[in-house]
Amino acid sequence: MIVDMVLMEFGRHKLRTLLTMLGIVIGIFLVTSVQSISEGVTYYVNDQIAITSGLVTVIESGGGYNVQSSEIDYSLMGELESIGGVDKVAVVKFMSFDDIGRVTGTTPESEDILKGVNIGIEEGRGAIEGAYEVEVGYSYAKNNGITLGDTLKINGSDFEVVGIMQESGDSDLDGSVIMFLDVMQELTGDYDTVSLFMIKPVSPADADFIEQTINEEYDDIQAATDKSIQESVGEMLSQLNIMTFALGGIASLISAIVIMNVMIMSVRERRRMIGTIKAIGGTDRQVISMILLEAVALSVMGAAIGVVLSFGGAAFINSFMPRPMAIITPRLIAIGFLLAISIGVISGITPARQAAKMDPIEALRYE
Amino acid sequence: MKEILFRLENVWKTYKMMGKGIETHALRGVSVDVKKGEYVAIIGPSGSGKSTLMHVMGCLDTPNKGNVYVDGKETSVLSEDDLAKIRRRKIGFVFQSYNLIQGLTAAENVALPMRLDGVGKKEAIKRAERYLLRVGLEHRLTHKPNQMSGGEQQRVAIARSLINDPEAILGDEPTGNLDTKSGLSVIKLLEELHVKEKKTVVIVTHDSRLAARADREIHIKDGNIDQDRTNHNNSHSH
Repeated sequence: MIVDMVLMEFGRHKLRTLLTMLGIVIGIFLVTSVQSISEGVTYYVNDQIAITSGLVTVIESGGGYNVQSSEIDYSLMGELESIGGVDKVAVVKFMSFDDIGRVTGTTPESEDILKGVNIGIEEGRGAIEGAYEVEVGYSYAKNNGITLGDTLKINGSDFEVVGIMQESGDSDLDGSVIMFLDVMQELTGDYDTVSLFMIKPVSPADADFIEQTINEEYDDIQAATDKSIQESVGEMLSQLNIMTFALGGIASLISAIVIMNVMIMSVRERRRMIGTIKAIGGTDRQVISMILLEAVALSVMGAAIGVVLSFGGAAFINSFMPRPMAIITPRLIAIGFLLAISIGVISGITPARQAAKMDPIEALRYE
Repeated sequence: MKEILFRLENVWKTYKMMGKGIETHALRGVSVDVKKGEYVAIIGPSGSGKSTLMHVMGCLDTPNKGNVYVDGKETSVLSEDDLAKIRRRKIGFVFQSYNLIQGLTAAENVALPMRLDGVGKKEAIKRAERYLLRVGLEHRLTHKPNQMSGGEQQRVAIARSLINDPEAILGDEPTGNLDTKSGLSVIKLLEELHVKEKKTVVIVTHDSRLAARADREIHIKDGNIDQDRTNHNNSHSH
């Protein structure tokens, strides 16, 4: 009986219901939108780390951990090879071409290092060094309808697609065209800069030492193990999380106060109805659950609207990013609704108790 | 001898005025029995305590002193939930201002006590429709209270009071808001329930002509019973 009575009440006061929900709509919208960045970055970093697992990654200092925009001196490679504990150093260069998008330039060594991390050819064969041949990433092929033997025009030259890669799980790699670095250098005339070095330690235990040595001795480049990347990203995110927490706390508090206030007033307004329900045999518990459900329903409806809007919020954030960074995950949605349910319960309990305590006679006398 | 449905023993009800130490006694040691199947009118001027007497009888209010028994059970030892259960199952209330719930249809209003008793909506509505038919409102099932006349609303309230098949119907000035004609038809409906379905009917009124129709008149004055008399020659008696 309770549910339809609650819905009836909302139907009778549509505007008030909407305005009461507004706080929670805005609160959940803000929290979910901001937190979607954290979710997206975590997802992206984990996805990156999977592919460089066990390696030390070296990129340009500053500029965060954006490998796409990193530019480092290719000639440093020899010096890095001489650091103790280093087994192999491989190089990768990312470029973006207007006609085909992202291209990853590799060397036989870098492919060799990455081979350990689930990158194989799904179809066809590997490109040959020096030849105008490319491999394409799994999702790049899928999204652009590319098959073996197709010709891609890159920066004015024709390249034959000789291989399609297996899905690696790394969205950068899967979404790009892969060619050998020597061909890329020939194509662009840039022989001096690359994007990153990947260092394979002799044993995994050497990774920390290599990282430390590079960071102490060089200013222009920075090294990171996947562990330290995870840590520093975690640190960055923890600040974002604190912000979300503060934002969420304030928004929740305000919404709870608004809902409580409206519910207290609406309970007073409905003394006669509540008195009648008690007089005809409704128990205190039935009255409490009715009012409580009303408060919870209000905040959950608000949260639902907030979550829907936050998809727009995430899209808005992503429109400023080179790649989608904000993701609304199921986890995030679940947190939003749990938050809403607790706000509903917290704000509803006082008015619900007040309603249950009403003396049916007093309530019936009230006109 | 008939079973006693309501027994009040030396019942006192005192109201404190705003905690200022001023007390008003609504009931001053009232003792009275109402038997099953009786048709009783409680009559008295306003402020005499007649409504309080009915509220105490119907477990809407608790006395400060004295004992109340409903169907042999002492109510002072019962929990709030048990009292609610008595109001839900043993008693049907009819109020002066009908007290229907505005957003609900006639059938939904009538179904409410049954749904509070845990019965599903469909079944309760089906039963409610039968009772609305019983009070002559089969054409008003889906009307909201504000689409009905006062007399019709009070009939809906009577149907609501009947739905859990209670022992007694307690009416607090049930005709107070109605014109003479619809008031009379509401009273006749209650009398019919008394005669045909052997319901105990207790009404509170300040109208002596209404009270004279009952089998028994209890006159209240200043919180006490002034007169308790039986009317032997009423036509609806049996």
